[in-house]
Amino acid sequence: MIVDFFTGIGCWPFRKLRHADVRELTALLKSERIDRAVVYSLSSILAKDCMEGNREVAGAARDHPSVIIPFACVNPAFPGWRADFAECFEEMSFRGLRLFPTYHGYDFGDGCFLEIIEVAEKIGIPVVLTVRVEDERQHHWLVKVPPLDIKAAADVIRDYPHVHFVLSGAAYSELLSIKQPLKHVDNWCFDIARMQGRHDNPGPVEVVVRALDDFGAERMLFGGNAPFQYVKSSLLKVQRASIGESDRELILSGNAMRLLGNKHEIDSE
Amino acid sequence: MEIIDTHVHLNDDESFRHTIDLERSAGVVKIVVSCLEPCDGVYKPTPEQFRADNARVHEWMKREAGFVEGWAYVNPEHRQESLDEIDRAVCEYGMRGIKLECGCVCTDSRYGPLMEKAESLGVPVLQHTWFKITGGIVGESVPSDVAVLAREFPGVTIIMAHLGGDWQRGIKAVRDLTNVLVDTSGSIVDCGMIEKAVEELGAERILFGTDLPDIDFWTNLGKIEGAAITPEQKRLILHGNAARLLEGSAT
Repeated sequence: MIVDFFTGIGCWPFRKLRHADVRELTALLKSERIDRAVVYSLSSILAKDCMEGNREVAGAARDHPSVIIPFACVNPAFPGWRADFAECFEEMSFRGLRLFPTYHGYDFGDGCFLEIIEVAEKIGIPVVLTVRVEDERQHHWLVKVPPLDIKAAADVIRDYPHVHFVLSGAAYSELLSIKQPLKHVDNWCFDIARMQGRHDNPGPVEVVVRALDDFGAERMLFGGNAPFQYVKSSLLKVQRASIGESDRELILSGNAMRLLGNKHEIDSE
Repeated sequence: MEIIDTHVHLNDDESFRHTIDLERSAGVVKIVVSCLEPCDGVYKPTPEQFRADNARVHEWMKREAGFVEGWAYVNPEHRQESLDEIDRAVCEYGMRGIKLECGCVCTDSRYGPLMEKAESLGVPVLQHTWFKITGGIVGESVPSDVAVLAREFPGVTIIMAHLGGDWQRGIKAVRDLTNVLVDTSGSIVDCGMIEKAVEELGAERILFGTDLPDIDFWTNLGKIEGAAITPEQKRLILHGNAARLLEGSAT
């Protein structure tokens, strides 16, 4: 079984993205033999009001309940976010929260951020902190968005031990920078979507092998970052990596299923 | 499917051994390698440095004959020493072309003698190219610079590395310049980049590369395997074009 933890559908203004609507996405997942995908609205990254995109994702999950696991995007710096949050988690069937602090313009020290994390903690949902969706070197000249400050994110993860955080779209070098600060902290993991290289130090050259050695398989989630990236790149990174089968299974699906709920619950949807 | 990786680096020997073992296990039949150790993040080697770098590649070429091929790394800031080193590396070591990184931007007039040398030897030039909206490094060339160079030296085959970094710019900048090939190496994995390159440039102008050991092999192979192009186009990119290029540059 394969669960992709980093997938978006919706509108993106800067280039035409294949697989950005639910029909194209489900066809892609089927062709790559990916069973389930945790899906957010990429429309919600740049729209002022996230809810239009969230409703699209909720509709996609209703239409494809055996494939799509919906995650809500909520911007706590925008008026009415508490009502948006309530609609997503009380009226719609969202399973977790994906935040875009750098796109939505708030800092980890802002009261609105702390409040939304506390609300997420109360209902026990995982929180995805998006480091990036695109390489910032490639951004449009009008919209240059820095990556998330991952060391500050590590502080947040430490400060909220009862919230399970996912760092999404981080480079391997960034993850290495928080290895020590989070060495004895358990409430976090990361997706492998934007780990494209190891960048320094002698030794094995497969990035998944290096990450496994540095962090352990339990920290790693498969993520393809569709529709921005070739999902095949992430798939090969895990499927062809020189690692044991039990570690591979954890990365491809085991960790995601544990994070989302028990296996029976996921399989029976 | 056989694969030729046209963009590999020799950093430390341990990583290079891992690189060779991994590439072989993945079906790669040949890798073309340069050694370019930066000094404080700047790629401006002295003649002593680039001679030593090329000598290291040559040692591996002898050790892994037929599998490891070389790019001759030089710095246009050192004209005569670079010309002498190209002669040594191509004619004595048997390297297949010239690797230029960030000694100076490729529109610099100091490129001229090196390009004339490449033309006289009949070898390609692999030019590091990356447009970054966040700002480039010292001496870094962007796709529009490569276009200027290619127009000035139409008799030299130039490989614009990394599809120019920002591949949308890269493809547009060199689309009509048939002496420019591109390689697919590096950390950019944008869905659609390979299809666009095939559509605009033709599959015949695209070479597979990885940028190992720093960038993951599977990340790079996935770009080609995941692209919506024909099996024949994939075969050309992964092997056919490079085989043809290397055959033409054999001395």
